[in-house]
Amino acid sequence: MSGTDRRGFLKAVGAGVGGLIVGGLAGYFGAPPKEVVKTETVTTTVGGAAQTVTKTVTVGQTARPTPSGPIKLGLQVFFTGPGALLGLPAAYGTRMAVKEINDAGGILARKIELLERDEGPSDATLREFRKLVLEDKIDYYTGLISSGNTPTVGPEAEENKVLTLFVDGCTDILFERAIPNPHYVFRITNIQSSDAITAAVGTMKLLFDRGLIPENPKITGIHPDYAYGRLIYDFYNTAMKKMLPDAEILDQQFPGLFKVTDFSAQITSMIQQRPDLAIVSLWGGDYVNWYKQAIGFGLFDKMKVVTTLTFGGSPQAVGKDHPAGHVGGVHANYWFTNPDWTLWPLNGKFVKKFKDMWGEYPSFEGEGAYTGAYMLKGAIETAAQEVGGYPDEEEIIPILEQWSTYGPAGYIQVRKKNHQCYKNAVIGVTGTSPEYDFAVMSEVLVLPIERVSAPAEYDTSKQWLESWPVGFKP
Amino acid sequence: MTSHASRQVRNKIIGYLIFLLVLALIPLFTRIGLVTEFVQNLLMYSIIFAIAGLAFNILLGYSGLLSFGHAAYFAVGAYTVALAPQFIGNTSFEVLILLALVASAIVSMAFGYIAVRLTRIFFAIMTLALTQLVWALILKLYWYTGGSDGVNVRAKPLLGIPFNEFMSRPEYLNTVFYYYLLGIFAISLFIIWLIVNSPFGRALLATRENETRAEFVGIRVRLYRWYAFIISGVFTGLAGALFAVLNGHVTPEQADWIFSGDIVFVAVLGGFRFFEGPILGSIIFTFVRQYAMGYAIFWRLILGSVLIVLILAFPSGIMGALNSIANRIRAGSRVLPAATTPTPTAITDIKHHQDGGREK
Amino acid sequence: MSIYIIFALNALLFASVLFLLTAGLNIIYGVMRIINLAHGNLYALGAYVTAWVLLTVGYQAFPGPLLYIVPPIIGVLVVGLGALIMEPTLLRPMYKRIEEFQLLITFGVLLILEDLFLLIFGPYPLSVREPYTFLGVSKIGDLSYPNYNFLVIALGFIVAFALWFLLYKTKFGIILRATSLDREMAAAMGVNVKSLFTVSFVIGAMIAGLAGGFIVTKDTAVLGMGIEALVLAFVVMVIGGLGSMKGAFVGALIVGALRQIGTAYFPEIELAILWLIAAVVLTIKPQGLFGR
Repeated sequence: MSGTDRRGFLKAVGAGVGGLIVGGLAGYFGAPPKEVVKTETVTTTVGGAAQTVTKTVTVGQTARPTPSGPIKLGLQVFFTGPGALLGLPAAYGTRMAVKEINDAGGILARKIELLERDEGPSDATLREFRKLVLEDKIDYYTGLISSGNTPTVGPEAEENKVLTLFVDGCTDILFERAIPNPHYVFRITNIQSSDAITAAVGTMKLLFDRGLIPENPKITGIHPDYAYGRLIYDFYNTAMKKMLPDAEILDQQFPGLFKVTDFSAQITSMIQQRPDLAIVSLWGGDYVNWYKQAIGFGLFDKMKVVTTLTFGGSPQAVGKDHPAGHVGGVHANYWFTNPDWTLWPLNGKFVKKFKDMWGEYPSFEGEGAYTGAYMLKGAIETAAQEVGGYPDEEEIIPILEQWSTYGPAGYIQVRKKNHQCYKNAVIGVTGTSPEYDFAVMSEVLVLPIERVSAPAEYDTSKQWLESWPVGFKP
Repeated sequence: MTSHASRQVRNKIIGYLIFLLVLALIPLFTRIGLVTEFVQNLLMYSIIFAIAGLAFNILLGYSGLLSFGHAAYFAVGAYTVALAPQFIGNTSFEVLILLALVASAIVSMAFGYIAVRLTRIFFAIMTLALTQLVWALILKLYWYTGGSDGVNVRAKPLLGIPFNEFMSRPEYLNTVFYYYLLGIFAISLFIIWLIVNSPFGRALLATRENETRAEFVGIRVRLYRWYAFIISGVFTGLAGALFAVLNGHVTPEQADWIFSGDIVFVAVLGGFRFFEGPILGSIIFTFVRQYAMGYAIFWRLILGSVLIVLILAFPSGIMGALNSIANRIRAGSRVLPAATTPTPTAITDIKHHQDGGREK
Repeated sequence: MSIYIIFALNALLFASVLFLLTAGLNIIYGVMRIINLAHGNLYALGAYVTAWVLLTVGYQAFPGPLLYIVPPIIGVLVVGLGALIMEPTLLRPMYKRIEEFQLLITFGVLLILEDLFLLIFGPYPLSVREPYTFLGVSKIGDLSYPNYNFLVIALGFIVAFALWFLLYKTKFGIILRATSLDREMAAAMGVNVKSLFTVSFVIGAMIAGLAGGFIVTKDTAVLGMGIEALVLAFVVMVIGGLGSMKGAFVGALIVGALRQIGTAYFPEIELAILWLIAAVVLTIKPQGLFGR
């Protein structure tokens, strides 16, 4: 108690005379005594209660008592609304991993208690997050689907010092602008710019190289009107223009996310432009509505369609009536038939278990959330070995920053610089298969992640994209 | 009569001071663990909503005009605070508040000018249409407003002191910003109280009770309503400005008519016939919604049911219910004369005019 | 050229749905002087029930043309039943109260229905394809147009005609219009105002349910659809004039056309245009184009 008071007071003195009085007040009222106290040479921790700190304890020397009680893991995804199409599979993935971990005895003999909250518009999401942190006192936080929400919650997680693993919401803005130097926040699924570039490279490999679109394609498109749609529009079209300098980018549509159910006006406007190619980044219920109506207007016969998220929700959400021979994406992450089940049995086992437990096949969100929970477990256990006791966030983070592991989707690596995970990107050709009563990828294209994402030396993905020489084909 | 009235005023002022004092002690309670930081955080949202509710009630409670468009001024205030630093740099919060007040004043002058020509249901629809216009613009002008992603808002220096630089955000919000907010709330409360108890406020009441008669005794009804509209809009904009910093993020949701509905809800829940109604309503609304959302995802079901029960059974809100209980206790078994019950006749019996309150 | 025919058809399609929504709102407003904020959610209820019937019973259960009629009719009946419960219990006590309370009580119903959908039908959108894809497409020049959309356009015109007939050619319609002009006088003439209110509320709600039942196979039943639709119906109502059937018809055509033009040529400000026009109409002619 007195330690933190002094600290607040010293800070206030440092801020000058004006700040002295109010800052002193701040020190008095502020900063609850749960903080990590650090000095330059010795890392010590004030545990949950007001324990006396043994000064001789240095990292990894003495065993620490494991905190009693379960590990509280906050999970916030869309459980309701049209976003649930992506949110629920993520929750399934986390729940499944938590169940497996708990059945096997938990993490360092501590069970995981999952606190599930609904994701919503960003202000409601933020308040619910604060409640999880300040009132429910969660240890770690995971989830979030919308790329409108991660830049809102991210800074708050940093300020509240909560170890956070975002499942999705993978806008580049998060680690470029909202929290440029992340410490507590990590993200599991591939970064959004990779999604756009994967779609662009997929267009080249699966359509252009096969002579299905001309050298100078006219490109239209339709995107949800928020961060994700805007980014795909920007990155995809820029990439296409780099690879095919004669391409012509037409006006593209931006209907509100989940605001429109009748897309007739947008679809006819797209047809009217007489394009060769359409880039579509609608997802969830929006995509299902759009493609159903687009078939009615014959849009798929008039142009080639490239999507980023046809296969992004639960796989069975897209019916067999989906036109074949177009390019469908999975947010550049994971499609359940890939990697091959016999060559990579981990995936086959995961898919079977997921299907048995939830009655549906796993989506990329399900796989990401599942792998994320195991990443956390692995990092905590490794840190525990180093420090000889249950580690705190500050001890887990350096481990997690250089973590590299494998999950059902294959190998996955954390980049220390931006706390973003990287795994190979997937996109494919739409089609059907007698084995499944929903549309599937009839051909899967796997792109090494190095080829579709900015190397660490670039500050922003946009800089990397703009550095491409004209005619460059990654 | 006068001594009775002044005694009432004195009692009220003492009541407000006690209320503010309790609020001022909350950080201490948080400190010693009586309430959680989250409760304090929610209380800040309540205070902001209370300012918006009080402002809204100048229209509904005192002028008899139901605005379904207060989200517009709230959002204008919030977005001014969020976007202005791009142009004027990182200034102290007061500058931004001032800008937010100016911006919401301009918007409410323009909208008010159009809207006060109408009354009743037409006024409600007009304000709704105007707020949707603001919403659509914020949503669609992505490159300026960030579209549905909204804009991040950092902690601001207060009174010229850069607290935000040497404090973590949670610390900042729960200490200096809390008192700053409380100060603004106290000032707003005082000003709005003065306004509604001034001759201007009484004139507004007269226009609410009987428009024609008010016109007859020389009140320029439409002009007075316009003034009321602007005052209401400006204080709502102030609430929006404070919200931007507390929430740390603003989105078009704050301009949507459903958000206007929340502000209406706050006033009706507390009791819009009472000056203090929106304050009580906002505290209850914020906490009930939060906890309903946390433990049951069906929070709209709860809110909707509460609203219906309130209107059917307690049309004068929680304040009205409390007041009548208090009166009953005070009066013992004696039945009160109708005149002293807090439910004005306007609530129970207004006949429908065929012209529906359009401009004549 | 053919693209402009399709633009026109799209405008008609959208106008048809908007007319069905606004017609119901206007009947209710015209007779009862209540703006039913829950109206959009009654439309959503029609959509949800129809989709649910098609998904659980299966489209195979309805042979031939029954597929196009029976499921939406079930939806309409459920909506009618809901309205039949809602009017006497929630709205009737409100008639003598100020309009603000009437508006708020329907706002309460809006909130409740929104969560009831979630509770009953779950969080996923309900998507049905069969009747929509069964009808195939027509060729217009080198372009195609889904035949189902013609059905929805036709529905709008059929209901418009039926309403005109009901209001102007039947005794019931005369009573209805008389009551909306002067309630006291109608009551004095021996009209049972109470049951008339119930009947008109149920009719208004059922038209909304009908719209929902027919659009759901083209779109999906999804949470929030009612609120989105209500807001657009408001624009139509404001432009056309409160309580005016002719206004609903013309207003729907205007908004339908504006939306298609906006989407094709000004996609960035399409939504803002609609509200701007509504505000302009309210400013110049507060009673709307055809309001009394």
